[in-house]
Amino acid sequence: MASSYSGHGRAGASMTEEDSLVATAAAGDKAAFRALYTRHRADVARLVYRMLGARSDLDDVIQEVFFQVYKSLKDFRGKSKFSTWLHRVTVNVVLMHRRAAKSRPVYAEETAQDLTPDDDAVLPDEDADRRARVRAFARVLARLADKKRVVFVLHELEGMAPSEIADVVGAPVLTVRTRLFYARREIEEMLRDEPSLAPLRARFAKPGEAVARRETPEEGEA
Amino acid sequence: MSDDKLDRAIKAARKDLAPKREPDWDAIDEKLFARIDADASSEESARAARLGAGSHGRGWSIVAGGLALAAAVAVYAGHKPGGAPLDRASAAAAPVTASALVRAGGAAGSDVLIAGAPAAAGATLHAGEVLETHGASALLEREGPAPDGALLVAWSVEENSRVAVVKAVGALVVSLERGAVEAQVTPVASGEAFAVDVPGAAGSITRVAVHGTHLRVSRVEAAGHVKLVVDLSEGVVSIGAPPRSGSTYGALVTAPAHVELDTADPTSLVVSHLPEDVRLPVDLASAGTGGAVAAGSPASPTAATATPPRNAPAVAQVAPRPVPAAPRPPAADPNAEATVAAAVKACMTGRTKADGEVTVTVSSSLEVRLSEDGVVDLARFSPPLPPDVQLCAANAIYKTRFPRSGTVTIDLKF
Repeated sequence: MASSYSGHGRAGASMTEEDSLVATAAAGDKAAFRALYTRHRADVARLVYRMLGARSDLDDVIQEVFFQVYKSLKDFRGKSKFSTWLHRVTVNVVLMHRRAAKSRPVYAEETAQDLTPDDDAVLPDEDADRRARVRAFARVLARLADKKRVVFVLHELEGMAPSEIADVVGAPVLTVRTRLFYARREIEEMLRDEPSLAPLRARFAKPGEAVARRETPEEGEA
Repeated sequence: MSDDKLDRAIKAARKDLAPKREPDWDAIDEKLFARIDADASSEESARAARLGAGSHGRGWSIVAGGLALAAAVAVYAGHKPGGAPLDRASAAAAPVTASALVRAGGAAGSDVLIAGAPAAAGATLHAGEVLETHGASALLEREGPAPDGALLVAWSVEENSRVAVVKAVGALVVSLERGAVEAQVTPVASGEAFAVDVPGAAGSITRVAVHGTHLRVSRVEAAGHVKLVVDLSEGVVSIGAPPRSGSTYGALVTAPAHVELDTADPTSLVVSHLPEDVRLPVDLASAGTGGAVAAGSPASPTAATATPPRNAPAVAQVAPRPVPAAPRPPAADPNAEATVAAAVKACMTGRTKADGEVTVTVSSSLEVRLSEDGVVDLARFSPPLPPDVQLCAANAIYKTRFPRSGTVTIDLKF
């Protein structure tokens, strides 16, 4: 979705070319819009996945993001990078989706039903462990408040700088940093309660260090 | 867990927390670009209609229609068999027929415009198109698929109204941008057959969704406020915000009812179940096959809702049907809350069965607004239950009379 931050963006995308595509698409050129869509759809899919988890309606949310992009592109003034603006649209659509989902009745089995089928498939042990970790981390993320989850996902998983996140969420950089601090602290707390992440903790623990250590002094530190 | 270890956990999550399967891009492409094409078509129609309406002349309307047609031709000019994905998207956006115009009537010089062009009986209205009436009204019908072709919805657009077709696959959803529509809807087994979206002044949208009923919805704009008025002579409607998908959750109202709502304030819903407050319905289903509908209706939609008598039909002066009186309220039930809770639970039967180690529990709250004599005016589930359960429950709820007035909240957990 962006070329300026680490790892996940397109490599070598020309800003001039991108600017030109954006301008042409904003003028109503459907081929240009399709080119933008093709170029950024994988990044949008990844961000939506990271913010919502493996749900059966991810495709609908991705579609909604690009429909909103199409509807709003004429209002894009180029004051920020297109990728930043696209992040903003994606985040807004995801948050609206979550709010709408909250107003629906919740059944005990809904979460399991909404997982995509291959999440429940029989897998080799290592893959199953990885799946368990993914689910556990997704559960932890889902428990974060929206504002903290957004900045955490954008910074820690998508690699965006706080200044760019500030543009996305429309908040001062200091606020973004504060949210990040508390998000990390809460995640740290919640990870201790996730049994699926015990192997992960064990793997990262230094030799001789306890794994289940709620009572150790270190755990009390922010 | 130290910062260092948290960072390592995050690094692992960064690698792991990405979709392992590609989304179904073909399906997304198809739906996305069909939506975009429908939206573009709708905007084009609206622009053409504005041009036509602004000129006050049929000649300009025809020119505007021609422009819309030219735009449509321009879109399809790029279609090359076997070509790029853009071609596939265009093909996917083939217009979906929403309804057929059965009758358009009015005084000389009046117009019914579809996509900005004058329309006569036999014309079809498609998804994304706008139908506008100027001094005339229109009767439309939506039929089921062949070979039965049963009448699903008979609906009329009153004089000086404007509707846009939002959705024509499955439920027929129209956006009422001005004026009023009346509809007679054949009940469906599940889901919604017809819905009217009423845009508010500040961009909000209120949806009136029906499963099988007879209703009239009007949009009244005054002093910067938009009022939604519903006259319900049969069945149950759900009034609330449009969902992203699925059925509409909102306040359930049963017939007979006259409902008024300031679209800027969802709490302003006022319901009267007095039959004399409900506008007389027109037998639209019969009108389409021989009745006279919409010929020179004298009343404007706004006047009809603003001044008494309320129950004079504006769309047609023929075949008004009496509004069925509400059933006589039973004696007050001293255990009304328990009766209602039991009725809701009965409607949920089969949905809460335990399976192995999984126990499904449902928790909701039912707010019931009561009249002075304990009769239910309005019921609302929060969070909402599935629409078919709500409809099932509504029948029982509205038959229960409470030994008090005001508002009662019943916690439901089973």
